[in-house]
Amino acid sequence: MRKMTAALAVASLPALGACTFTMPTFTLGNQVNLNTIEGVIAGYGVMLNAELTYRALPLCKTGAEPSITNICAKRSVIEKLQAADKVANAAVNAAVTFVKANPTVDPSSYLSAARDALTGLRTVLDSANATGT
Amino acid sequence: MDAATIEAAAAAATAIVEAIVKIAPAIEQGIASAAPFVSAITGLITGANATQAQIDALLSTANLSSAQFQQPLPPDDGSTST
Repeated sequence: MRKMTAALAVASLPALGACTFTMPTFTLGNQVNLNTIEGVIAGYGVMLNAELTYRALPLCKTGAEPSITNICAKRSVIEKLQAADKVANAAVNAAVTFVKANPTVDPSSYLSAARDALTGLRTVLDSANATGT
Repeated sequence: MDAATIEAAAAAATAIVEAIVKIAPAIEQGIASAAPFVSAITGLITGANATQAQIDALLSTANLSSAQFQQPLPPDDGSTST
């Protein structure tokens, strides 16, 4: 009986070998990276929106400070925001490009660079909101 | 409260409302433009997984907004140099 079982097992091996099936390629790491990168872009988008809203305000007259009765945007603040946005945009695009090209590689360094750039942008935005400078 | 105080308060309130009304279109446009980004954040909070197509679309919108923001300011004739 034992010999028969062994023979059956051996006989079934070629059949198994001939059978081809595709392993699923989805990994938890990929999905976490996709969700994280979407969060980074969405956060950047909300800040971009604040930048555009600020820029849509009339420019402050020379020497005038923004106030509740004089809602305006300072040229100097817009220029600071443009510089910070350039850095943030490059960092976010670099992170997305890396995750797309290397879906299974840890993108921490790119995400960290994007986070730092967004923090820099937010600091300028917060300063503009608080003091107009 | 005397009449002068009431008049001054009314004038201040009018000035505030006028200033806000002037920038209302910008605020309204801002709310509309934020929609795709807010929607993505809402999706993540509610547990929906991001797809590559969503990410591409979101990044494309962000890049367009950034390009718009990077447009040079009108030249300064000295009246808006602050």
